[in-house]
Amino acid sequence: MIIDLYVTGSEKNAIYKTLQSSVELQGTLKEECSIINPVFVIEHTNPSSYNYCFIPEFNRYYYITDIVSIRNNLWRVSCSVDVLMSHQAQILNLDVIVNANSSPDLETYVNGSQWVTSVKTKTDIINFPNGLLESGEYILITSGGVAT
Amino acid sequence: MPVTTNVLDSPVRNLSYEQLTSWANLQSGYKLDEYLSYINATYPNADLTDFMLENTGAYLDFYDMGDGTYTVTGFKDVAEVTSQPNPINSNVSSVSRGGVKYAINHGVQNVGGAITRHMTRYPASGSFAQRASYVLGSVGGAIGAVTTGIALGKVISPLLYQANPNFWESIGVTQGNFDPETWNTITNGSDSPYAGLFNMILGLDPDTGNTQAYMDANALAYMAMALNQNGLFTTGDTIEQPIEGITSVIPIYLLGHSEQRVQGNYYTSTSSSTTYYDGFLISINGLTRNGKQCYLMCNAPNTVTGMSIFAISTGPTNINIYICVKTTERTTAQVNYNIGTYFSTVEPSSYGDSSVGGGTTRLYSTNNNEYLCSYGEAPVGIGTKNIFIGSLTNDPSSTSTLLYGTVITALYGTVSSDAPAGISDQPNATLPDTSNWNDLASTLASLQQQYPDMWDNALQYDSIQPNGNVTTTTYVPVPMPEATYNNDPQPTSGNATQQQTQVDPTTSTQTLLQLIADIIQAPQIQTQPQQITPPQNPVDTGTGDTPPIPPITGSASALWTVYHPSQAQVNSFGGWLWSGDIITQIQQILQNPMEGIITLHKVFAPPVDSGSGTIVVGRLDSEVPSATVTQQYVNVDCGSVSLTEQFGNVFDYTNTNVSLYLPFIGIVPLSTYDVMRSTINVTYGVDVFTGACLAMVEVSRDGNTANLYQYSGVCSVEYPLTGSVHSGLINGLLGIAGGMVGIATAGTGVGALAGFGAVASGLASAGHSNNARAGSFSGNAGAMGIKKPYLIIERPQTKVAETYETLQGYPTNYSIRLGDCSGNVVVSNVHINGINATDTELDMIMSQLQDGVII
Repeated sequence: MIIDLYVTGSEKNAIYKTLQSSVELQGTLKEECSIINPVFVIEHTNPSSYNYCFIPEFNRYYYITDIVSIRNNLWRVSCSVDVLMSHQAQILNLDVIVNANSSPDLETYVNGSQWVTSVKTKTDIINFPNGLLESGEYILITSGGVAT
Repeated sequence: MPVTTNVLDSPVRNLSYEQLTSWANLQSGYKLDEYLSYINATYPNADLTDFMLENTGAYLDFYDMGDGTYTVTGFKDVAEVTSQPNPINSNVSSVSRGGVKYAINHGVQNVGGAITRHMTRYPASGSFAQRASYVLGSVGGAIGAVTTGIALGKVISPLLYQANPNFWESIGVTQGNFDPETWNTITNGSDSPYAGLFNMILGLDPDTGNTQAYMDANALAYMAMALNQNGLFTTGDTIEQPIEGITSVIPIYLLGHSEQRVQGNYYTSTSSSTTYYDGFLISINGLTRNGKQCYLMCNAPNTVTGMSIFAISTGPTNINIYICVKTTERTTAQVNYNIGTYFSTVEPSSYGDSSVGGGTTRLYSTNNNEYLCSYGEAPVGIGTKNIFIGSLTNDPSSTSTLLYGTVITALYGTVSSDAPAGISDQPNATLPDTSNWNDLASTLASLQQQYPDMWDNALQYDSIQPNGNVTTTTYVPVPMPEATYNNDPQPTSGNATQQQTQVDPTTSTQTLLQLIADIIQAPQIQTQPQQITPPQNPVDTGTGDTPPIPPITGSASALWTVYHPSQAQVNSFGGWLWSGDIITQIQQILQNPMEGIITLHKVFAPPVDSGSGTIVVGRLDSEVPSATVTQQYVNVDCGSVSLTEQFGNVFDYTNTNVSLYLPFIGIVPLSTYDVMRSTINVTYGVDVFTGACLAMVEVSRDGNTANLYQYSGVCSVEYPLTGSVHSGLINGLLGIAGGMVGIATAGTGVGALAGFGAVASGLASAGHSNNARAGSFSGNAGAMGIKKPYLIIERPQTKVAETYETLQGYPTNYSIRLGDCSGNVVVSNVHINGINATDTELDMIMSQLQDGVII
């Protein structure tokens, strides 16, 4: 069995993780091991710098959640499956209904609590170009007809 | 019906726009184009002029466009038209204005709506052109710029916006900063809801759904100039083998320079000293300094016997510039003549005062060329310009100092160009020669010469201007970029190329199709056969126009007379009323003239005088002259204003409040959803006899116009002629003023305070958004107010975090394949299938998708 240890600084909710500084460990599973939350004991000088791993036999990527020193060069490593990285191709192929998105087709006319405003407002005035007469015109109405 | 084959051969006449729209409106509200289409379809052999004259009494000049369509250019006698029966039918088209109205907008074409064949002419060849239906839309400057770039052979990728998301705005091509005067002539005017946008015609093939976009040729030339000025059409010069000793060569892109062309101006000038110089002033764009050497290669013929080559430049940092001359064209004796480099920080006109640096002559060789070079350090910075390559002499008559022949200006060495990343050349495209692009006219002529196919397949679009003239604009076929909407600031080339300009909806991307739909505002493009799918979101534009307002006619003028006296005439009339003349008094005793005066008031709308006479009261003639009025109703058009979105998001609607001040009425609220992104017109209908007024608020948006708000008031001031009249006026004012006035007159003491307190608490509970800006005021009170309407727009000040878009994204609700998204994505619902994972993992996937993932 192979365990590849990595260091990753990617966000936990990123589908793609950038993996660096890999080291390959080879060994044999000697007792039962979960494929969701595996715990295994490794012999290594000091694996504390690693926070990520890949187990090809399980075909899954894992976060290292805990490293316990048993004795000199013997460590117990606890892991938790990273479902996003492990199943990235299938996940990206899913048809979804998006609730919030950075791109593409960024929608900015859907209301939500994210549109935060200050208590202050600003007021603009737009004047129409014309209006009624500034000073009125006299109208006199009398009974009878007009004399010419 | 007359059926003739005569074709009108009269020249185009100026048309009064008001006459044309009045005539179109009178035809039961038909739009002009609709009316002409009906006639053409019903009477295909008719001479339109004779037909219109015989059947409507209106004499119209029709200019034959040569393809079976006509342009109306003349009009006569509206009154005769009204007396003729409508030859069409009685069905009323619900438009309040003629269709031609939207053709008028600051000299540019109308926006929105279909283009009829009366106003468009097509290229001679091309089945697409003959089959297609055309629609006029509008696009923003960024799309105009990218469209131009693609049409002229460039590729614009998303990389362009990584460093500068507002690239096009930053270089001034979206606001007209590059050439404001030209900009105003090619875009829609500021009072249009499409201000600052270009017009674009889209042709739609009804059989295949293919789309061809056409752009105003003047807009294309403007954008081409703007792009060129910003170095987007820089071309690389031919680079020869590097000079020995130079470790690497990177081509430098010069503005329009090549071995065959010489840019710049000849300078021949004198100074106060005896120093003269002749040479070329060239512009070099994008020259950066990275501590490397720069070589300017100059080729001077043998006729030049003695010369110095120097460079004058400006800039904040220094690089080394080598001025080199090929020795292959020189005699041996001329090889070693002095070539000095002199660098100055100022233009040649003041050379001689501040030269810095000097030259050291070196001889370099490479391959078969030998170069005599002189170098020095010149202050040159990023984007520097005006490196002067010339000759220096102290003998003004010496022709030997003139640089003849072609100057090769190629920069060698490891000086890199900072041409914008994200812009490259299309393979096999024809790139433009920008050497003669000095102004709009020369650029347009140059493009027409270099790209004749564009003009061969162009459309000719005719529009009627406010002064009645017909303007013909050429629209050339262009490729369409990828963009999410018609004012997208970050469009890209996508799959569009210079050669392939038509859009095939079956193979085009969704963003391109969305752009097309946004421009034409009609979901006509389909990428797949109609399927049974959930209801599609309807287009966000409404339809329909409100009915027209019929004119009011008729009056009982025999029972009363309406006068329009001046102030002096009113004074004279008053003097007659209380005349001391005994004869007049006897007449007034027999018949009290006050009983014959119905009303005297001032109205704040212009009455239309119909004649003149003397003021007669009953049977008594005052002999005071005055104009008379028979037209009871007048319209006062207060004009139009445009209300545009400021934020481009929900803030423009849910957080923005719009109110309208109306003279003699007050401040009324308008629904932001009704008036945002529209043109608002206010017209007062005024009854000058009584002062009653009706303010009609008309909203135009997306090609439709509707009278959405009407408010009534009184725009006159009554003048009390007797005591009883005055009392009636005061009582009327108290009734209008309502509660606040009642409290004020309640007197002092507890009662008044209690009343005020009650009102005050009512105000306190109203909340921020419910404060009334004014009560109703009309009549005498309104006369003291402002006489012009104005909009009051209250907008929020936003506090959206700058990184919110990338960290969380904006709310939305649409279906998409997750892999087509990027950035932060929050999923509301998904059916997780096709994933080989445990049940626990599937739950984890769902949970993380709903919490948000980063792609």
